[in-house]
Amino acid sequence: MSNENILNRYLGTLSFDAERSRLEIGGTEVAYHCDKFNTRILKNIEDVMGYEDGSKLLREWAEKTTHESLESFLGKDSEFQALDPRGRMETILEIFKILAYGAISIKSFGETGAVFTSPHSYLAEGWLENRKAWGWTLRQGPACHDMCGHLAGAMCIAFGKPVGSFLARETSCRTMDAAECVFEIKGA
Amino acid sequence: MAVNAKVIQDGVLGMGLRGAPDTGLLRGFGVILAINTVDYLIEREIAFLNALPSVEPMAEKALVDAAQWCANATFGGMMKSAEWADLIAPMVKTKTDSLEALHAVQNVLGWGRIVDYELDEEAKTYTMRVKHSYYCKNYIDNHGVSTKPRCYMWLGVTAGNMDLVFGGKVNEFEGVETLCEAKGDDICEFKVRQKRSLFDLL
Repeated sequence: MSNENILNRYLGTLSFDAERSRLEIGGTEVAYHCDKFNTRILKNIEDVMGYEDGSKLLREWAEKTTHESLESFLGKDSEFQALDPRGRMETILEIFKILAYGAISIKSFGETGAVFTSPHSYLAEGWLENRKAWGWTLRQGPACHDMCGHLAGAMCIAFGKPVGSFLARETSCRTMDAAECVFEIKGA
Repeated sequence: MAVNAKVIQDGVLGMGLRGAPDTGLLRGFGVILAINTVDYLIEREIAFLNALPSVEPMAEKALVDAAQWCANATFGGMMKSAEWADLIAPMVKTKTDSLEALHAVQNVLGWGRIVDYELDEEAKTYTMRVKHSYYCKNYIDNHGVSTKPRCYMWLGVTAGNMDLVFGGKVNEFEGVETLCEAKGDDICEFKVRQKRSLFDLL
């Protein structure tokens, strides 16, 4: 795999500061949270703000923070910088797997837009588990707002563009009984 | 002390906490975990509160509530998992042991460090103190010193710990954050007791 060295370097930065009980990867402070917490946050934000505003808030902050954290590590990695945009994107999707966001495949990819699919998007997986555990219903709108933001931020890194250069939306979601989640990205 | 926090922490960290190479999912202790940046975790909550200044208390309650449900489902699930049975259950005999085991797990998740606590089993009250809560430095760096406590997730988890230790029903307990590093205190402190009709710890 052409990006194996980059991924190994990234994983090698995972560190636990026992005195402060704080974690870091790629030079960015991170924390573990479970699907129960993140889906409850999602649900409560949507319930209080409304679907569209809640989705926008989560997408935008996921994009901004994902872009910052990827840039802080990958921006200094000469091997990553030497990759073409598709190679960069493939590397970032492997990083997303390390971060346990789920497996994502590229269906089409270019500077004007891209389509990604996932049979394992993390938040959808959590929502589906809550259907069993708490009787949550099928959703009327897609759930993976933060994945939209992560992908929009990743596209910016892949093409060397600033935050806000791409708009991402989820057109199909497993929480709505689709077979897989589909993410469409377009230039803003 | 019956519970060896170091053994628990080494055991949890030794599980290689990252997404699986095929699915990209991290399943363990009966839940699905993900690694988010601290900035994302905090800023989505602060943006949510800032968007709704007229109903901020309700929005704050929604954030605490999410964490209290999380504590019940996540740590309740963990306490029923094979990993807990193998690694932790042999050390746990009392309610104090249960709390200390929960603290040991919570101290490896990147949230900050639980440094001490007091549990009164008869009165069903619990005080927990945290240093380096992930909210505080980030909040001050991005928004300045806060005028009020900010550790919504910790508050829900603290009350959720008591829900779990005293029977497992969600929202049996409620709490307040009485000190917070985000507003300039030296430590974050959470006080929890069983819900009553008139509740005012401050």
